[in-house]
Amino acid sequence: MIEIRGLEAAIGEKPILKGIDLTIKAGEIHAIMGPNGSGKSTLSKILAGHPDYTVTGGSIRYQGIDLLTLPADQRAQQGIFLAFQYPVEIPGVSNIYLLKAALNAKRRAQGLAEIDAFDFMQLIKAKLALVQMDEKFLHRAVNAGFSGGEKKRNEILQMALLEPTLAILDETDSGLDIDALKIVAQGVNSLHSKDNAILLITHYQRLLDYIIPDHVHILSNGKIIRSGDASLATLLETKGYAGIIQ
Amino acid sequence: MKSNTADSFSYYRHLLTETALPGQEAAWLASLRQREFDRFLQNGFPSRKQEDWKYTSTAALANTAFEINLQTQPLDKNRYEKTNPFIRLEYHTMVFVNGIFNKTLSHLDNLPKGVVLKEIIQAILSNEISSEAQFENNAHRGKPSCHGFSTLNIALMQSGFYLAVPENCTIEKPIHVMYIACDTPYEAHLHNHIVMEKGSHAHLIEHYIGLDKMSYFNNVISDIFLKEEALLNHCKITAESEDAFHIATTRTTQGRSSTFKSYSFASGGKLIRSDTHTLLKEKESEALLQGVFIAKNQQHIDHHTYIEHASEHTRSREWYKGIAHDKGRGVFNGRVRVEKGAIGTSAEQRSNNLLLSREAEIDTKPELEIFNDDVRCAHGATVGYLDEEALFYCATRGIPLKEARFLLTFAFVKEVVDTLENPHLRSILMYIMQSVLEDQIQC
Amino acid sequence: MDNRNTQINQFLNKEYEHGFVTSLESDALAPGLNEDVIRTISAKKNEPDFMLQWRLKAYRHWVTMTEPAWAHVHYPPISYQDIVYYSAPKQKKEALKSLDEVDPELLRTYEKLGISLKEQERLAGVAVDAVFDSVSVATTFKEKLKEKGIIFCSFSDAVQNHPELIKQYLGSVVPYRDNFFAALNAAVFTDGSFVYIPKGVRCPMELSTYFRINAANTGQFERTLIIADVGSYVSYLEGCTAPMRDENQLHAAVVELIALEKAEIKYSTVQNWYPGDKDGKGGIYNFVTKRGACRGDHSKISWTQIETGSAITWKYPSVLLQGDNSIGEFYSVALTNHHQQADTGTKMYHIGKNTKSTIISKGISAGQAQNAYRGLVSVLKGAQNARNYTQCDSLLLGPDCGAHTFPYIEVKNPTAQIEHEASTSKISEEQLFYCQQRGINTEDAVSMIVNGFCKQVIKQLPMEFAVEAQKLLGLSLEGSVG
Repeated sequence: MIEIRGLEAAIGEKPILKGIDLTIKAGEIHAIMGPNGSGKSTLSKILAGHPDYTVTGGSIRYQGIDLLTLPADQRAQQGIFLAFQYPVEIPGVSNIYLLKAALNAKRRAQGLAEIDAFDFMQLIKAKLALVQMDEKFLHRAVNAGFSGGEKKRNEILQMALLEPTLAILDETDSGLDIDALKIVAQGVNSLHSKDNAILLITHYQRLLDYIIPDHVHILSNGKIIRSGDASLATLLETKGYAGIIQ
Repeated sequence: MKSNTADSFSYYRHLLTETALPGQEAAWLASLRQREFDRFLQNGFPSRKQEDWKYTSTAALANTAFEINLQTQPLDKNRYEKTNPFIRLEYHTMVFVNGIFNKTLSHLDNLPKGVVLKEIIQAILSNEISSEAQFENNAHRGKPSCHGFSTLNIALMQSGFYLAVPENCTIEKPIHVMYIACDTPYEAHLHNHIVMEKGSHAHLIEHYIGLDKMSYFNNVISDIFLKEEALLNHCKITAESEDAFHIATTRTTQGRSSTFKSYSFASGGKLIRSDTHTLLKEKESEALLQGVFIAKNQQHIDHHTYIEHASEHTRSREWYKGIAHDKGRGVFNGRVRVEKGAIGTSAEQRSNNLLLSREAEIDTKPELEIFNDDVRCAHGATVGYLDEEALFYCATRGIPLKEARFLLTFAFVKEVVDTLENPHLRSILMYIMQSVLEDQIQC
Repeated sequence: MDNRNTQINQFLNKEYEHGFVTSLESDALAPGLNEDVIRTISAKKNEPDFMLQWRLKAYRHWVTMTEPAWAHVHYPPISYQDIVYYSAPKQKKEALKSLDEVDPELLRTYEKLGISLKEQERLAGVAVDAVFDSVSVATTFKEKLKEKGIIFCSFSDAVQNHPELIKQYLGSVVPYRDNFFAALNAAVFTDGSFVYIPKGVRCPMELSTYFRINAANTGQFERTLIIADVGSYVSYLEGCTAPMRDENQLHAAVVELIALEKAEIKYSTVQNWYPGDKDGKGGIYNFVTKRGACRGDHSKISWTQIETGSAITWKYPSVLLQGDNSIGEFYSVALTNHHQQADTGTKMYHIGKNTKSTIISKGISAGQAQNAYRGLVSVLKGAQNARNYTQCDSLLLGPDCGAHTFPYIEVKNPTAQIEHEASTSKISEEQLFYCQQRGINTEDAVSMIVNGFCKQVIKQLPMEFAVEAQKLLGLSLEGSVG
């Protein structure tokens, strides 16, 4: 589904990624773990197409296309979804308005007609149940005044609605209490299928107790230094980053 | 012609002496007009050398020489009905066409008992305003709202409305006053006089709207008197024609525990200068001033506010949002003054501005003048482009840049519109703002 | 509460410490201003003709100008013909070879002010230029600085020894036409400090000028010019005091800073001119034009000022951000008490690309004083990605004082991000009570709170000045420099 080859990237003059190779196939769940400053979040921003990062080397092929040539909105329309570590607050824009605009943009890109209001409400209600969110969230401004947990659930709600092919979850577990973590994990698991893939980016092993990855990669100083199966995360838990990196 | 030259003075002298201005039967008015005109001759129009006019030049008015209408102006009923967005809601409606009251189009039948709403000259002739002392908003004498345009307004006043709401009366439905410009260029000096007696409540919409592409000039004063515990919800919509000049001053004098809620939405006109000045004269009075302006093409939109805290435990909150696009220029000057004895004052002021094009300009100046220590005052101002992170967020949700820009710009405005209490007014304003923005935010 | 107010008042009513007069014979001109006075000043200073011509042009322009009236300050008209435009302490010899030749009375004056001009007694890190009335009387560490190619001398010496630098840079940031007081200064300025830091040199010590007005009826018109060449760094400090006199005295200085590519200038002021007595009698009118130009890319100019003195302060240290990626900063504490008036702030002109400015202003007003912040942030059309953050806070002590904020924001480029915040409040009674409950008396509590309020600015000062600044603010020193 996605093939990352020798990816190098910088913010301003400062190199952050120094040659990343990663292949993710449909149906797989991958986890990227690493200490603070290792470049985890940079990788997620680059996949999503954030304008502040410059790719200085390497390539990303996604479903046969050169991903790096697409602007962020077209990547999203092609099925790439980023659940943000810190979702931005957009005062004045209601959640439902954003969701509908996003869904319709995707439908237009697929050559489908825009969804009518009635069908949309039916659809969104089903998705709300999945993340156990109240309907009143729809009418509040996007993330404005949401608690940390509400923001993260809202991200998963958007993911549920947009049904991405590749979902990147950036530190989705941070700031969640155990109940909210379970809800989020259940939501993600129920959205996972053989046709899509999930890339988890996380600092701690905690999330991986609920969403079991097929592959775990350890990122350090802009490079993947070790890959393995789910047991690598457990090893990491006991030895710590320092123990693995040296 | 209307620069500060002998020419423009003689032009106005001609208007004053040769035009059969109405209401001259009231001797006090005739003499007041003359004195105001003399004052105008002395001071002329404000110039950019004056701090209050630093960012706004009225020189463009110089090449105009409009006539003042004295006769009723025609407006087709169908056309009027299409123009009035509240037509089905049957608000208490006064319609002025090209500066002249149009009784046929107005709807004033269902006013509560004791409420007077009529053309101002009629109110003077029937002695509802019977003296200069009653007419003048004396508390604002010598303050920044007294300038060339306001003196000229009184000298040449030809129309406007008078609203008096008796004690403890609540008018449920809003009063909607429409000043419609159409067909032929004109110049109007409109004077509105609003008296809210003790404990009365009203909702007033002052609505300026231009139907045809033409140049004209509306020079407006709205004098508002709020007695003890009165509440006025005042919404001014300025949607003049693209080539119109609009200079307006709303000045309020507030009694004890009164509340003044002011909203100003300005999107249409070549040059708009809209001042809202309120004097919190007696204790525990409160003012809320909010506004939105969208300056596009070559528009120049200038909002000045002046809030004077003159008594104890008075409160004010202010929030203005501005957008400048194309070659538009938006100006906001918010001044809060807290007098020596005004202890326990709280004042808050926010000015947020979006600058959307390379040719546009925003000038903002939030000012605090504080003369005692028992206060809590704060202000904040921002100028910038749309939030890049929010744009990226929208993009990662698949929303194209153009659409995301519109979405965020619209949301920026909506935050202020959302604070309006009347849902109909909210949706009408959203509609107006949306059409102005859709038209423009195509970058 | 009354008791508390009394204590606050006692705290605020401290006497001015530097109000003594030095009795010295001085060489002064008669009061009055005309072209002959200017020619005399120029001749006394043995100036080359270009200087005289520049002064005369400035004078001729000045007579066409009117005094500005827009500031939030009030004072009776100044009679410019009653001012003495040149006053110098009489020296025994024309040129002094060493400090030993300086009149001991003068040295004692500076010692009394806490400024020793004897190098061995100075903290090693500071070189001083001492300006007494109209002239520079001594500059320390000149030789040591010379080894690095640094020029630090009086303006008069610079005119004699480095006329090419003066010719190139004088008036290039503050032209004589700039404003009324800048024009007056250009016509009659008598001395000041001059600094040149050569390419790539990091000035090894703090440079400092100490200004002292002594003679009566004398105006002080000094001019400071600092040039930081490519890649250099300098930190410069100035301090000011004057005797207590019943008449107002005029101080109209001009400071010009030039930072070339990758150069950095840090300019700090502790201004403690005589503020007048508690009834508003006497005091210095401090009408100053200070401006820096970030000419080169990646250059930086930072102004820090502690303004506690003067009857009236009227100054706006500004930065022209011409170079790409240049940075301008303004940190200010202005304390006004009794009948003092201050109208101060800054102007940041964003001209180059990716320019950044920060403004932190703290105003404290007590007694019947009026304290105004006036600032301009201007983003010109070509200034891509300009950033400004402004914070202005005012603290009011007492029911009769005033605090005012007049920020002007003018933006002509959509990539700019400008943010301004301001707040005004009185000293919190809860904070005072909290401190008292912990056994701290009101005086110390007010000190602590005022100190905390100003901390953001004071910490910008070099250590030695931070201590002086806090003394000036009447602050307790404990744990205050952070």
